[in-house]
Amino acid sequence: MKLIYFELKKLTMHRLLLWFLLVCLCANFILCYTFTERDDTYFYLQKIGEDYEKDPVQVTAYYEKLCAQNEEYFLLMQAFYRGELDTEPTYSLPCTYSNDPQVDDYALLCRFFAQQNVADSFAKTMEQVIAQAKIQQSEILYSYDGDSDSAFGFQQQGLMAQTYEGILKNTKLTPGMGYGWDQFFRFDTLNIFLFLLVLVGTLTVFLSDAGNVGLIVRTAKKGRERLSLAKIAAFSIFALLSALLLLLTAWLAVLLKCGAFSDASNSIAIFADFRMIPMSVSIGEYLLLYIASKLLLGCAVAGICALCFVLLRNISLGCTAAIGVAVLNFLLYQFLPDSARYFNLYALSRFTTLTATFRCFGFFGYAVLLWPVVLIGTLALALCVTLLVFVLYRRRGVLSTTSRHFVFDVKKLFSKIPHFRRKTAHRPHTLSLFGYELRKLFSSRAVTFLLIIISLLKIGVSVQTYAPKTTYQTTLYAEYMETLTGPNSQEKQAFIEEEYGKIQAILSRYEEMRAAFFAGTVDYAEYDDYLKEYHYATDRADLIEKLRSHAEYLNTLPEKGITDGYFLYDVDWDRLWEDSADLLLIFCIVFLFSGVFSDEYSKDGIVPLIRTSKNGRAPVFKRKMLLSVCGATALAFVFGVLDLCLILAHFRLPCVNAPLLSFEFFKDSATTLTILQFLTLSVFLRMIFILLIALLATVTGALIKNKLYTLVSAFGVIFLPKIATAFGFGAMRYFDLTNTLQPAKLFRLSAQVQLGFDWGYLLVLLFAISLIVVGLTLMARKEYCK
Amino acid sequence: MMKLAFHDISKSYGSNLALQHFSATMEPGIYALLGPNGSGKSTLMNILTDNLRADMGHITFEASGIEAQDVKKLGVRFRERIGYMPQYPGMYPTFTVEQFLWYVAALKDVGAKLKRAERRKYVWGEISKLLDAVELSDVAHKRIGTLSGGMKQRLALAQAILGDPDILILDEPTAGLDPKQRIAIRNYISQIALDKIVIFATHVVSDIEFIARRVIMLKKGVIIHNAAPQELIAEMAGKVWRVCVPEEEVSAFQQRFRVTSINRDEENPKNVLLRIVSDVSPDEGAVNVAPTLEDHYLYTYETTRNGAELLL
Repeated sequence: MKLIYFELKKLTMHRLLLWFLLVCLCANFILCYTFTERDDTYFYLQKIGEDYEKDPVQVTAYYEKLCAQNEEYFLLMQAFYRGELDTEPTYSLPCTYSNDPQVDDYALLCRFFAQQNVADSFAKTMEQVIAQAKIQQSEILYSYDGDSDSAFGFQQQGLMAQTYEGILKNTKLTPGMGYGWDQFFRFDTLNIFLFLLVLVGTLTVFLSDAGNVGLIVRTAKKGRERLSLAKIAAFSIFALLSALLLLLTAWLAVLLKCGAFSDASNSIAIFADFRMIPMSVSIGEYLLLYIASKLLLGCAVAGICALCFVLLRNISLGCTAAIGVAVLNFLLYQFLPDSARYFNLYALSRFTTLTATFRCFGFFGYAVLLWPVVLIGTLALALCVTLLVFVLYRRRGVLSTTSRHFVFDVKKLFSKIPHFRRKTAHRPHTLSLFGYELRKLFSSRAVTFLLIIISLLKIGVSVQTYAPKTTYQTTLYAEYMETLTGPNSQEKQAFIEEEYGKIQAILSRYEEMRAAFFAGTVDYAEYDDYLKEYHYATDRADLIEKLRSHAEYLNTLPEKGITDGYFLYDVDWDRLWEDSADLLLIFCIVFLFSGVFSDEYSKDGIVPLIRTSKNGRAPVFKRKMLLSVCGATALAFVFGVLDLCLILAHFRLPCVNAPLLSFEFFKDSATTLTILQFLTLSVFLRMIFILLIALLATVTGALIKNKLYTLVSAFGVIFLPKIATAFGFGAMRYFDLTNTLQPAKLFRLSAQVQLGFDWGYLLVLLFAISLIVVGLTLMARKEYCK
Repeated sequence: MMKLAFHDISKSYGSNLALQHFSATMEPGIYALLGPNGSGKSTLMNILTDNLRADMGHITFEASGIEAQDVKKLGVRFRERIGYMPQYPGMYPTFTVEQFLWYVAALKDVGAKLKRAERRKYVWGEISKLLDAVELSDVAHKRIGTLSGGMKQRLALAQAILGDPDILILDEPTAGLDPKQRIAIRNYISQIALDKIVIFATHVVSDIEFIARRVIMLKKGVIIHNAAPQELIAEMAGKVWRVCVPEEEVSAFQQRFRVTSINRDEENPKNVLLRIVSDVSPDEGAVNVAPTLEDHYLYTYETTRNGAELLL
């Protein structure tokens, strides 16, 4: 017992781990809160449900009255479009259930009664299934020779009937059913935090005995078997605790956002994904299964991480292996076909998706359903890996930090090849301080792994972001642009108006034609021809509205001195302007360059050694700053080239010489720049800001002298304003440094703020950041070179 | 003539006085800084290498081509003449031994006045010689992270000596070395120290007993002795005793006196020979023996045991 106590104490003494846990819990809460959508109609429908239960006749009568009013209004509108009325009829529906004019009683009651229909249909379907089961039972009774009562088929059908009777009894398909629970069960982002926490927690458990202290520990009486068990208990407890806390924070986030959860005693069959499930499980019972799955998964993943560490006996490789296992499972899930994709940990982590997909799957004729098999399987996996960890830790010993026992040395591999052995034998070394700074930065395994992971992520994210998005609407839009592309003109305006008129005329005839067809005054062929025109019109209605709106906008441009605003295919241009900040680039830059100085201070004695030498102060300081500048430039170039290649391959970006104000995105500005000029300026601006961020991270490291605190400070400064903006603190967007990598959005913001002129805010921001960077650089220089 | 002079150097960390009015003058030779942990040795070295600012006092340096000036004012001109080996030399575990020495050569600007090709040849020659001297030639291509503690220590010494500095500042250079290596290092330092000022901080007396020109003993930041080893040893004349006692009485003697060694009496195994440092004879049968510097060290620093004052 005491060994477990000490193992847990070692965990809790690690402030870094506790801070990481806190950060993960906060991030989990924030993300869950952000992604959860509140639907106030749930509360309104609850009220309707209560009224309906008290007096269904009155509610139904009210609904029918509103339907009649709505129909009457519709007919009046038809008449108005036919020109039979002079004034457009006004229409206001009562809002007695909500205070929001957008959510009137008619809409709510429609939804309520639609739900009633679903409930009725569900009940009918269930009754059919039950009836069929009973019929099957009867058939078995009459056709089976012998003791048919105990026949498996008879029993099975009886069980089926019983189960569905229970489901029918316990399922109340009420409006807003499953409210809150559906979002809670679908929040899979929690799995990422669970994995990270379990990985770091397991690493901490083994890291505590790495190095020479492990030799002392293993020599002791209880230093092997008992200690192994204690460590297993410690990381399992940590995994369980992490899972529970993450679930709790997610649940709280959903509760705060949604305001309530629906009745947990209702059957899980109320969720569309779980309809017809042959299992009478309430939401509350499913919640317990869900929690159990996460707890067991946490233990299983912790065991796998521990296995990686104990097997490889190397921190970096162990972490890589653990991440590799996670990525492999993810890839298997993504790329394997059909059912095969569900036999992996990633599928297990998405318990709701798994159980919904296989809700009707059972073994031995539904004697055993999938769910308990999944949970038992996870438990078995956790136990197996734990047993392996126990055996291996007992036999192999401690995790080595210095890689003495398992040296992954690429050079060693190459040195076995005679050609490379000759080459590497007397390789000349450099006397360039910059070369050594570069070497120091990239010789760290952590940096290498990070760059590999970020590169893969970047490729994935960029491919997704810049994938071609061609839809029917964009194709139609492109068709219009074949005629319209180019500077605004009277002819183009006339074309648009003509097209608009044509479409409106077609749309307005719909009711008339429909009535005529049903009345028999129009034959099928004529009606069919009309329907083709109607579909043509409905497909283009929104587009032509957009074009009209754009034409109106272009007509306002001469006031700003732009006489030739363009019509152009702006779908991909708009995607480009709305592009989100390259957070991966920011993360990479901050992580890499915050260590340029701070990593030196983590090694005892090296900084005094360097500073004592002739070139160890100002020259080294300059080279380190130069490294940040060159490194950031190289990174930005590589990331930029990748994005550019994808954009050029998949985006359609016509008319680069068109005025920038052709896009309504920039309507708040008065610039006369062309698109090409703006893009060129954007590239330079972006580069300057990237360099400033890199230098900021570097000098912060020089002043704080601790990599972790530097990272926290740098990420805080860069990302906190963005998070605050997302939570409604609008003023913080002016301090959001991630905007600096989105020149289009930054320019638009600058134009909206109008500090003197369009570029005012942007220049002030650039000046302010530059001033801060210069100031901190001078302070850092003074500190390092004193 | 090269001269390094400390003028009234003081440094405190909050209320803790790490160094108080340290003054000394050093000329070519080995100067041992003796003292237990926390006596101010590392503080002095950090001040000398300009990694720490003294609260009071200054250091001057004079050599051929340099008039006596404050080392702060000399700046780079002083630092290019220093070789420093810190107490815990953190090196880059992913660098090889050779790479690290090349890096230090770049930092020290070794061979700066030569042309590029000649410079590389020169630096390579210097590094090879050093690797041979510290017996690291066999592991020149190995990563520092895979070296043993003793090898790392020798590498740290090698980087300090690289560039042939005029002033060598060595903080516990023999820590972690086996006796053979310690003697070898000691002899090597002794050999190269003829025209250098070597400041050798240690609390292992035998390291400097036979090679130091002067021994500066520090206690709680204050110089308590600054003399040649022979002078210090001479001070202990008549204060070092050998006495033969029964085994059961050993702990009683240890409680009251400074016992520097305990050996079994070969003639009578039940008795034990104690070497005691004391002003007064510890026992009737005690005889004076020739003192060593270690006796002086214990005499100076060990005044109490288990809270009780030892008999002087």
